[in-house]
Amino acid sequence: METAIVFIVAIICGTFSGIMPGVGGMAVMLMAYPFLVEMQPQNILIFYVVMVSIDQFFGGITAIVFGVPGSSSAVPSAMEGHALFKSGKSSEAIMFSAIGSWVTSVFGVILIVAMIPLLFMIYQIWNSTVQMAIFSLTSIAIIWISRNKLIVSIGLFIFGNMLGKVGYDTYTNDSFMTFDTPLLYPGLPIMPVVTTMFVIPLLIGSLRSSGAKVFEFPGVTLEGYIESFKKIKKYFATLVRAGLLGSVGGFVPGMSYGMSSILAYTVEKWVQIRKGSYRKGKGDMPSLIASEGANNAGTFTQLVPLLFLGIPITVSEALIYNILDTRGYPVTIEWFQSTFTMIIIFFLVSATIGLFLAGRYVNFMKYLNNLPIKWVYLGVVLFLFGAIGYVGHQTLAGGEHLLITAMLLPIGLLFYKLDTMPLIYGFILHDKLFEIAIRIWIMYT
Amino acid sequence: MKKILLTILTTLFLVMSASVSFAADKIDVLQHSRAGGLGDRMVTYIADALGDKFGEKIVVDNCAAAIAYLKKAKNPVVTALPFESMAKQNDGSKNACAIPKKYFINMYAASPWSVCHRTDNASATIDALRNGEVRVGVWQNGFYGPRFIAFMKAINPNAKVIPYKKAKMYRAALVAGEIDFSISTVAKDGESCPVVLNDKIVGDAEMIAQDLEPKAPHSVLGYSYFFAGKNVKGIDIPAIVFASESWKNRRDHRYGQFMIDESRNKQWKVISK
Repeated sequence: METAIVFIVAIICGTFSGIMPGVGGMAVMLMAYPFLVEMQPQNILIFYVVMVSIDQFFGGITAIVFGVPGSSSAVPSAMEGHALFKSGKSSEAIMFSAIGSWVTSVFGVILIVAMIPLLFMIYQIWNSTVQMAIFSLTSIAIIWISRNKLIVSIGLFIFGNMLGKVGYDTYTNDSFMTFDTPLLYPGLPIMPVVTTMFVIPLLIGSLRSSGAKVFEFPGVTLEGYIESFKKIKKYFATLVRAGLLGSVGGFVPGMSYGMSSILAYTVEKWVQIRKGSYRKGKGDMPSLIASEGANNAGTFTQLVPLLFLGIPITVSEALIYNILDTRGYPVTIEWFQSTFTMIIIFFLVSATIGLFLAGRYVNFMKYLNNLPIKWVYLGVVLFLFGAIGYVGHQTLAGGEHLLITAMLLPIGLLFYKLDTMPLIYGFILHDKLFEIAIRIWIMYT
Repeated sequence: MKKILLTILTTLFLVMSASVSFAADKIDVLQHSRAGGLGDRMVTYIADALGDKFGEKIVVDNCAAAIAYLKKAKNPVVTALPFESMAKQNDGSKNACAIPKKYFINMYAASPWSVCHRTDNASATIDALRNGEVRVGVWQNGFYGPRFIAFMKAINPNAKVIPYKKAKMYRAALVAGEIDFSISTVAKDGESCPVVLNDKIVGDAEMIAQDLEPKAPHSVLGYSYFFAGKNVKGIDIPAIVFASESWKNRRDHRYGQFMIDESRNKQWKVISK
């Protein structure tokens, strides 16, 4: 009985975190913390896996329709998906990305089950040198494939790095541009940065380039879903690439499914450019499917280090581990492994539910049809400011987060003609690149 | 009529003042580190130990925000801060997480660091630790990092100390074989910790660090927390916590009371030097 309730509540929570920008899985885990500590141990794992799986389906829709990424991993979906939305391909974009996500979810499970005997070997390959190579190549590719001039993309990437470096670094015991204020001591929060440096420039650029004056969204239908399911095989190669990169990226520590989504997107975009099928500014379906698909494949595989090595690789997993540990529940690898089959079942069921629930939810957006598009965008921006204040309020820093947003906004407004993805990735990747580079330097000198 | 009004007002005043004094009796607990981590567990022990006296858990972004909150707090509030929050920055400037003496309550808990390796790694022997060209993964922190490096240089000049930002990274690196040893406070499944940086053997340790090299600096080194708070004069927070069931039943048994018999002044000298 408890498992059934947990399952339903996890679906509701996943929907909430997917729709609400900035309210990620971790925030929901914290809100649910008082209830989690009372649950049976296997139900804590079920709650997490179901919630994260559902979250991925809903987060993609908000990114496609409004150009608002719920998290850093959804930035590519916002970029390509919203461009497809403006080109009148919103229904296709939503259906293909949802079906693609479902396919890669199943792909991730099959891959992991098949690879169990090889898991330990894969972890032995995942050393700092390999990490550095992957992160460096991803950074170069992100700069290279951007629609900006090369020098502009490099500048944006460096600027993103600088924004990421703001704060006190326990690694070097130095602070950078904190001006001795506690406000900047923990670094710039991601939501204000993504909102001001990516969403607002994207929406302004969109308003200026789009011929459409009113919001038009035809919605999705069951027939459309079935038709898209039949057509999805034309993206077979994309799904395999995304599934593979998402699955492997999900379970290697230091990468997680967010990073693997970025990697899959970068690779796919590069492939499409090479094939000559990528159209700048019009949105690219394979790149969208790759980004969304890798995300979903990784949501399951990220549990593998916890289940097979007892290593929690995300903050949410650390929270689960801690609850089990402090309550005296089993935290042995044997126990984790014994829950593996059950986790697989709940993950696959929740992915299927997510696929159809997302299809139902998205049609509510038809209520916005025929509203002037600038008012819809203004509503989106105001909603985001509210979300930033709300998320900040959870840590008594709502005012501070809004202040940071206000400070960054004038800079973001300058970028409305640019593709600011290099900046966002510079911001996200900065500490990983620096940390691994220092480690390799010490190892080989 | 006047009497009735007077009675109502008096009752209202009494109820309000009672509720105010009730609220004031409650002690809030400040959480400033990520949920699920050690810092969170340390403040959770305090919250649980307070029982009926517990007010609410106030979650802030980080330790700097916690200090800013303490400065403004009107209610009784208490938290647990790690030692490194008192360390000066590299340029000599004050750490934004450092507290003035008036907020320092007492030492809380400490766990000695240990040298660990994967249990199935047959080449990770004591002899290799002392003489081999081994790689030792450590948590690279502005406070502890230089201490780990100095300790390892004294134990084995051929060893390379490899910094990792998070514990999960060097645990994965142990599995990957990128490093041979790690310096951790708590061993996880599949790990053994033969050497402890302590003055006596604890856990599954086979020896203390001074047995490896008597002159090694920081051979007694722990990860430590202290109590900090405001408006809790007259309330013996350490006594409440250490007598509580939540503390007695804690899972982190390597974390124990620390310098608790020393005077507050002496304790303050240790953390503020």
